[in-house]
Amino acid sequence: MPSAASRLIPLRLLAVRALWAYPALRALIAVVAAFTVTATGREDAAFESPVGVVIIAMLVGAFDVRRRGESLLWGNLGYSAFVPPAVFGLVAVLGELLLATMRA
Amino acid sequence: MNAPLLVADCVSKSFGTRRVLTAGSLRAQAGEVRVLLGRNGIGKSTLMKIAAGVVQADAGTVRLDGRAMLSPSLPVLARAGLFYLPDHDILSPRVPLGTQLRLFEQRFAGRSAEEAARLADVTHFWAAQPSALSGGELRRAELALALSRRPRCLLADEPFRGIAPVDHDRLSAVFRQLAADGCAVVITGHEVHSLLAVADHVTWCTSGTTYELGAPATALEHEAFQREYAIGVQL
Repeated sequence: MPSAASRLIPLRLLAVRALWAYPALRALIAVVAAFTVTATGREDAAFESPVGVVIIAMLVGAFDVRRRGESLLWGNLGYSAFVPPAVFGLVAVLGELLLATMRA
Repeated sequence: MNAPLLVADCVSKSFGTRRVLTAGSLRAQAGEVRVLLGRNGIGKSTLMKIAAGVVQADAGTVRLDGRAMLSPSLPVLARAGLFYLPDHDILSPRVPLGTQLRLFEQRFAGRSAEEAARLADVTHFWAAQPSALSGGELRRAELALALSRRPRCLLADEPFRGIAPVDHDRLSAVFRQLAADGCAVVITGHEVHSLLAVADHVTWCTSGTTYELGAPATALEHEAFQREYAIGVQL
Protein backbone atom coordinates (compact mmCIF):
# COMPACT_ATOMS: atom_id res chain seq x y z
CA MET A 1 0.00 0.00 0.00
CA PRO A 2 1.57 3.33 -1.00
CA SER A 3 2.14 5.86 1.76
CA ALA A 4 0.43 9.25 1.87
CA ALA A 5 3.70 10.88 0.83
CA SER A 6 4.17 8.60 -2.17
CA ARG A 7 0.63 9.41 -3.30
CA LEU A 8 1.68 13.05 -3.55
CA ILE A 9 4.96 12.45 -5.39
CA PRO A 10 3.44 12.47 -8.93
CA LEU A 11 2.07 15.93 -8.22
CA ARG A 12 5.64 17.25 -8.42
CA LEU A 13 5.23 17.28 -12.19
CA LEU A 14 2.27 19.64 -11.85
CA ALA A 15 4.03 21.70 -9.20
CA VAL A 16 7.04 22.26 -11.49
CA ARG A 17 4.73 23.41 -14.29
CA ALA A 18 2.93 25.71 -11.87
CA LEU A 19 6.25 27.17 -10.71
CA TRP A 20 7.00 28.11 -14.33
CA ALA A 21 3.49 29.33 -15.05
CA TYR A 22 3.01 31.51 -11.96
CA PRO A 23 5.81 34.08 -12.58
CA ALA A 24 4.81 34.32 -16.24
CA LEU A 25 1.17 34.81 -15.29
CA ARG A 26 2.05 37.33 -12.59
CA ALA A 27 4.24 39.32 -14.98
CA LEU A 28 1.50 39.26 -17.64
CA ILE A 29 -1.11 40.51 -15.18
CA ALA A 30 1.24 43.26 -14.00
CA VAL A 31 1.88 44.37 -17.59
CA VAL A 32 -1.83 44.35 -18.44
CA ALA A 33 -2.60 46.26 -15.24
CA ALA A 34 0.08 48.86 -15.99
CA PHE A 35 -1.13 49.18 -19.57
CA THR A 36 -4.74 49.61 -18.43
CA VAL A 37 -3.78 52.28 -15.90
CA THR A 38 -1.77 54.12 -18.55
CA ALA A 39 -4.53 53.86 -21.15
CA THR A 40 -7.46 54.79 -18.93
CA GLY A 41 -5.76 56.94 -16.32
CA ARG A 42 -7.63 55.05 -13.61
CA GLU A 43 -5.76 53.62 -10.65
CA ASP A 44 -8.09 50.66 -10.54
CA ALA A 45 -6.01 47.64 -9.69
CA ALA A 46 -8.84 45.44 -8.50
CA PHE A 47 -8.16 42.78 -11.11
CA GLU A 48 -4.67 42.52 -9.73
CA SER A 49 -5.97 41.30 -6.40
CA PRO A 50 -4.29 38.17 -4.98
CA VAL A 51 -7.59 36.28 -5.04
CA GLY A 52 -8.03 37.11 -8.72
CA VAL A 53 -4.47 35.95 -9.48
CA VAL A 54 -5.07 32.64 -7.66
CA ILE A 55 -8.32 32.06 -9.54
CA ILE A 56 -6.65 32.80 -12.88
CA ALA A 57 -3.79 30.45 -11.95
CA MET A 58 -6.30 27.68 -11.23
CA LEU A 59 -7.96 28.27 -14.60
CA VAL A 60 -4.53 28.09 -16.24
CA GLY A 61 -3.95 24.75 -14.45
CA ALA A 62 -7.23 23.32 -15.72
CA PHE A 63 -6.54 24.57 -19.24
CA ASP A 64 -2.97 23.26 -19.19
CA VAL A 65 -4.07 19.68 -18.46
CA ARG A 66 -6.74 19.90 -21.13
CA ARG A 67 -4.33 21.35 -23.69
CA ARG A 68 -1.85 18.56 -23.09
CA GLY A 69 -4.59 15.91 -23.33
CA GLU A 70 -3.68 14.55 -19.89
CA SER A 71 -7.14 14.33 -18.30
CA LEU A 72 -7.29 10.53 -18.54
CA LEU A 73 -3.65 10.17 -17.52
CA TRP A 74 -4.31 11.97 -14.23
CA GLY A 75 -7.64 10.15 -13.92
CA ASN A 76 -5.85 6.81 -14.22
CA LEU A 77 -3.45 8.03 -11.56
CA GLY A 78 -6.46 8.47 -9.30
CA TYR A 79 -6.49 12.27 -9.20
CA SER A 80 -9.76 14.06 -9.76
CA ALA A 81 -10.11 16.89 -12.27
CA PHE A 82 -9.85 19.39 -9.39
CA VAL A 83 -6.31 18.38 -8.42
CA PRO A 84 -4.29 20.09 -11.21
CA PRO A 85 -6.07 23.46 -10.71
CA ALA A 86 -5.58 23.06 -6.97
CA VAL A 87 -1.82 22.58 -7.38
CA PHE A 88 -1.57 25.65 -9.62
CA GLY A 89 -3.72 27.56 -7.12
CA LEU A 90 -1.55 26.49 -4.19
CA VAL A 91 1.62 27.66 -5.93
CA ALA A 92 -0.10 30.99 -6.70
CA VAL A 93 -1.14 31.38 -3.05
CA LEU A 94 2.46 30.83 -1.94
CA GLY A 95 3.66 33.27 -4.60
CA GLU A 96 1.19 35.93 -3.53
CA LEU A 97 2.19 35.47 0.11
CA LEU A 98 5.83 35.87 -0.87
CA LEU A 99 5.05 39.03 -2.85
CA ALA A 100 3.03 40.44 0.04
CA THR A 101 5.92 39.75 2.42
CA MET A 102 8.38 41.45 0.09
CA ARG A 103 6.14 44.50 -0.28
CA ALA A 104 5.55 44.84 3.46
CA MET B 1 -16.37 -19.10 -10.53
CA ASN B 2 -15.83 -16.00 -8.40
CA ALA B 3 -18.09 -12.98 -8.68
CA PRO B 4 -16.98 -10.48 -11.36
CA LEU B 5 -14.63 -7.78 -10.14
CA LEU B 6 -16.23 -4.95 -12.10
CA VAL B 7 -19.77 -4.99 -13.46
CA ALA B 8 -21.67 -2.41 -15.48
CA ASP B 9 -25.11 -3.90 -15.18
CA CYS B 10 -28.07 -3.28 -17.45
CA VAL B 11 -26.97 0.20 -18.41
CA SER B 12 -28.71 2.47 -20.85
CA LYS B 13 -27.39 5.59 -22.50
CA SER B 14 -28.71 8.09 -25.01
CA PHE B 15 -26.95 10.95 -26.73
CA GLY B 16 -29.63 13.47 -27.61
CA THR B 17 -32.40 11.54 -29.33
CA ARG B 18 -30.12 8.64 -30.25
CA ARG B 19 -30.29 5.70 -27.86
CA VAL B 20 -26.97 3.86 -27.99
CA LEU B 21 -27.51 1.35 -25.19
CA THR B 22 -30.78 -0.04 -23.93
CA ALA B 23 -29.64 -2.70 -21.50
CA GLY B 24 -25.95 -3.42 -21.98
CA SER B 25 -23.81 -5.22 -19.43
CA LEU B 26 -20.08 -5.59 -19.05
CA ARG B 27 -18.42 -8.01 -16.65
CA ALA B 28 -14.73 -8.08 -15.85
CA GLN B 29 -13.58 -11.33 -14.30
CA ALA B 30 -10.28 -11.62 -12.42
CA GLY B 31 -7.71 -13.71 -14.31
CA GLU B 32 -9.67 -13.60 -17.59
CA VAL B 33 -9.33 -11.74 -20.85
CA ARG B 34 -12.80 -10.86 -22.10
CA VAL B 35 -13.47 -9.32 -25.48
CA LEU B 36 -16.40 -7.12 -26.29
CA LEU B 37 -17.31 -7.39 -29.96
CA GLY B 38 -19.89 -5.61 -32.07
CA ARG B 39 -20.39 -3.42 -35.09
CA ASN B 40 -19.27 0.22 -35.28
CA GLY B 41 -21.46 2.63 -33.35
CA ILE B 42 -23.26 -0.13 -31.49
CA GLY B 43 -22.18 1.13 -28.06
CA LYS B 44 -19.07 -0.88 -27.13
CA SER B 45 -16.96 2.17 -26.33
CA THR B 46 -19.84 3.83 -24.51
CA LEU B 47 -20.35 0.74 -22.37
CA MET B 48 -16.66 0.67 -21.57
CA LYS B 49 -16.61 4.38 -20.73
CA ILE B 50 -19.56 3.89 -18.40
CA ALA B 51 -17.79 0.99 -16.68
CA ALA B 52 -14.68 3.18 -16.34
CA GLY B 53 -16.61 6.11 -14.88
CA VAL B 54 -15.74 8.40 -17.79
CA VAL B 55 -19.36 8.65 -18.95
CA GLN B 56 -22.40 8.49 -16.68
CA ALA B 57 -25.18 6.06 -17.61
CA ASP B 58 -28.80 7.17 -17.85
CA ALA B 59 -29.80 4.02 -15.96
CA GLY B 60 -28.14 0.89 -14.61
CA THR B 61 -25.44 0.36 -12.04
CA VAL B 62 -21.68 -0.01 -11.87
CA ARG B 63 -20.45 -2.34 -9.16
CA LEU B 64 -16.90 -2.85 -8.02
CA ASP B 65 -16.19 -5.79 -5.71
CA GLY B 66 -19.95 -6.26 -5.48
CA ARG B 67 -20.49 -2.74 -4.16
CA ALA B 68 -22.72 -0.45 -6.18
CA MET B 69 -21.25 2.95 -6.96
CA LEU B 70 -23.73 5.80 -7.12
CA SER B 71 -21.73 8.08 -9.38
CA PRO B 72 -18.64 6.18 -10.51
CA SER B 73 -15.72 8.29 -11.65
CA LEU B 74 -12.41 7.25 -13.17
CA PRO B 75 -10.23 8.65 -10.34
CA VAL B 76 -12.23 6.74 -7.71
CA LEU B 77 -12.19 3.51 -9.73
CA ALA B 78 -8.50 4.00 -10.55
CA ARG B 79 -7.65 4.26 -6.86
CA ALA B 80 -9.51 0.97 -6.39
CA GLY B 81 -7.41 -0.74 -9.07
CA LEU B 82 -8.87 0.12 -12.49
CA PHE B 83 -6.80 1.17 -15.48
CA TYR B 84 -8.72 2.55 -18.45
CA LEU B 85 -7.08 2.66 -21.86
CA PRO B 86 -9.23 4.74 -24.24
CA ASP B 87 -9.25 4.49 -28.03
CA HIS B 88 -7.05 7.58 -28.21
CA ASP B 89 -3.66 8.46 -26.74
CA ILE B 90 -3.42 8.95 -22.99
CA LEU B 91 0.29 9.61 -22.66
CA SER B 92 1.36 13.21 -22.31
CA PRO B 93 3.03 13.87 -25.69
CA ARG B 94 5.98 15.94 -24.40
CA VAL B 95 6.84 14.18 -21.15
CA PRO B 96 9.42 11.35 -21.54
CA LEU B 97 7.93 7.88 -21.29
CA GLY B 98 10.19 6.92 -18.38
CA THR B 99 8.96 9.90 -16.35
CA GLN B 100 5.34 8.89 -16.93
CA LEU B 101 6.05 5.28 -15.96
CA ARG B 102 7.65 6.56 -12.76
CA LEU B 103 4.46 8.49 -11.93
CA PHE B 104 2.49 5.22 -11.82
CA GLU B 105 5.23 3.37 -9.97
CA GLN B 106 5.42 6.07 -7.29
CA ARG B 107 1.68 6.56 -7.03
CA PHE B 108 0.64 2.94 -6.66
CA ALA B 109 3.83 1.09 -5.68
CA GLY B 110 2.92 -1.63 -8.19
CA ARG B 111 5.52 -3.00 -10.57
CA SER B 112 8.84 -1.21 -11.09
CA ALA B 113 8.82 1.13 -14.08
CA GLU B 114 11.85 -0.64 -15.56
CA GLU B 115 10.20 -4.05 -15.35
CA ALA B 116 6.98 -2.70 -16.88
CA ALA B 117 8.98 -1.19 -19.76
CA ARG B 118 10.78 -4.49 -20.28
CA LEU B 119 7.56 -6.53 -20.30
CA ALA B 120 5.96 -4.17 -22.84
CA ASP B 121 9.19 -4.06 -24.87
CA VAL B 122 9.56 -0.28 -24.69
CA THR B 123 12.81 -0.07 -22.70
CA HIS B 124 14.59 1.62 -25.61
CA PHE B 125 11.94 4.37 -25.65
CA TRP B 126 12.54 5.25 -21.99
CA ALA B 127 13.81 8.77 -22.71
CA ALA B 128 11.65 9.33 -25.79
CA GLN B 129 8.70 11.65 -25.94
CA PRO B 130 5.48 9.81 -26.85
CA SER B 131 4.93 12.26 -29.71
CA ALA B 132 7.94 10.63 -31.43
CA LEU B 133 6.57 7.06 -31.20
CA SER B 134 4.66 5.14 -33.87
CA GLY B 135 1.13 3.82 -33.29
CA GLY B 136 2.24 0.35 -32.24
CA GLU B 137 5.03 1.69 -30.01
CA LEU B 138 2.58 4.11 -28.43
CA ARG B 139 0.12 1.33 -27.64
CA ARG B 140 2.87 -0.76 -26.05
CA ALA B 141 4.02 2.28 -24.08
CA GLU B 142 0.47 2.80 -22.80
CA LEU B 143 0.27 -0.83 -21.79
CA ALA B 144 3.57 -0.36 -19.96
CA LEU B 145 1.74 2.22 -17.84
CA ALA B 146 -0.91 -0.39 -17.09
CA LEU B 147 1.76 -2.96 -16.21
CA SER B 148 3.46 -0.47 -13.91
CA ARG B 149 0.14 0.22 -12.24
CA ARG B 150 -0.41 -3.54 -11.78
CA PRO B 151 -4.18 -3.00 -12.06
CA ARG B 152 -6.87 -5.29 -10.74
CA CYS B 153 -8.92 -4.49 -13.82
CA LEU B 154 -7.94 -3.21 -17.27
CA LEU B 155 -10.46 -1.85 -19.75
CA ALA B 156 -8.82 -1.35 -23.14
CA ASP B 157 -10.82 0.23 -25.96
CA GLU B 158 -9.59 -0.85 -29.40
CA PRO B 159 -5.97 -1.51 -28.40
CA PHE B 160 -5.15 -3.12 -31.77
CA ARG B 161 -6.50 -0.25 -33.81
CA GLY B 162 -4.13 1.04 -36.46
CA ILE B 163 -1.16 -1.11 -35.55
CA ALA B 164 0.75 -3.68 -37.59
CA PRO B 165 -0.20 -7.36 -37.19
CA VAL B 166 3.27 -8.12 -35.85
CA ASP B 167 2.50 -5.89 -32.86
CA HIS B 168 -0.79 -7.71 -32.18
CA ASP B 169 1.12 -10.66 -30.75
CA ARG B 170 3.19 -8.42 -28.51
CA LEU B 171 0.10 -6.66 -27.16
CA SER B 172 -1.69 -9.98 -26.73
CA ALA B 173 1.25 -11.24 -24.67
CA VAL B 174 0.87 -8.22 -22.38
CA PHE B 175 -2.86 -8.89 -21.94
CA ARG B 176 -2.13 -12.53 -21.12
CA GLN B 177 0.57 -11.43 -18.67
CA LEU B 178 -1.89 -9.14 -16.89
CA ALA B 179 -4.54 -11.87 -16.71
CA ALA B 180 -1.93 -14.31 -15.38
CA ASP B 181 -1.26 -11.76 -12.62
CA GLY B 182 -4.96 -11.95 -11.70
CA CYS B 183 -6.07 -8.82 -13.53
CA ALA B 184 -9.58 -8.72 -15.03
CA VAL B 185 -9.02 -7.65 -18.64
CA VAL B 186 -11.72 -6.45 -21.04
CA ILE B 187 -10.81 -5.36 -24.57
CA THR B 188 -12.78 -4.24 -27.60
CA GLY B 189 -11.99 -3.91 -31.26
CA HIS B 190 -12.63 -5.27 -34.72
CA GLU B 191 -9.47 -7.32 -35.21
CA VAL B 192 -11.51 -10.47 -34.64
CA HIS B 193 -8.74 -13.01 -35.18
CA SER B 194 -6.34 -11.33 -32.76
CA LEU B 195 -9.07 -10.70 -30.21
CA LEU B 196 -10.45 -14.24 -30.29
CA ALA B 197 -6.92 -15.63 -30.06
CA VAL B 198 -6.31 -13.83 -26.78
CA ALA B 199 -9.84 -14.15 -25.33
CA ASP B 200 -11.16 -16.42 -22.63
CA HIS B 201 -14.69 -15.13 -23.05
CA VAL B 202 -16.68 -13.28 -25.71
CA THR B 203 -19.39 -10.72 -25.11
CA TRP B 204 -21.41 -9.59 -28.13
CA CYS B 205 -22.84 -6.10 -28.18
CA THR B 206 -25.76 -5.64 -30.56
CA SER B 207 -29.07 -3.79 -30.77
CA GLY B 208 -28.39 -1.83 -27.58
CA THR B 209 -27.82 -4.90 -25.45
CA THR B 210 -25.14 -7.53 -24.80
CA TYR B 211 -24.96 -11.32 -24.94
CA GLU B 212 -22.48 -13.44 -23.03
CA LEU B 213 -21.39 -15.99 -25.62
CA GLY B 214 -18.76 -17.81 -23.59
CA ALA B 215 -15.44 -19.13 -24.87
CA PRO B 216 -14.38 -18.12 -28.42
CA ALA B 217 -15.11 -21.58 -29.86
CA THR B 218 -18.58 -21.52 -28.35
CA ALA B 219 -19.17 -17.96 -29.53
CA LEU B 220 -18.39 -18.90 -33.11
CA GLU B 221 -21.03 -21.61 -32.95
CA HIS B 222 -23.65 -18.95 -32.19
CA GLU B 223 -25.63 -18.63 -35.37
CA ALA B 224 -26.72 -15.00 -35.06
CA PHE B 225 -23.22 -13.89 -34.01
CA GLN B 226 -21.73 -15.68 -37.03
CA ARG B 227 -24.34 -14.29 -39.38
CA GLU B 228 -24.39 -10.67 -38.19
CA TYR B 229 -20.81 -10.06 -37.11
CA ALA B 230 -18.22 -12.80 -37.49
CA ILE B 231 -18.93 -13.96 -41.02
CA GLY B 232 -16.42 -16.61 -42.07
CA VAL B 233 -14.28 -16.23 -38.95
CA GLN B 234 -12.59 -19.39 -37.73
CA LEU B 235 -10.26 -20.00 -34.84
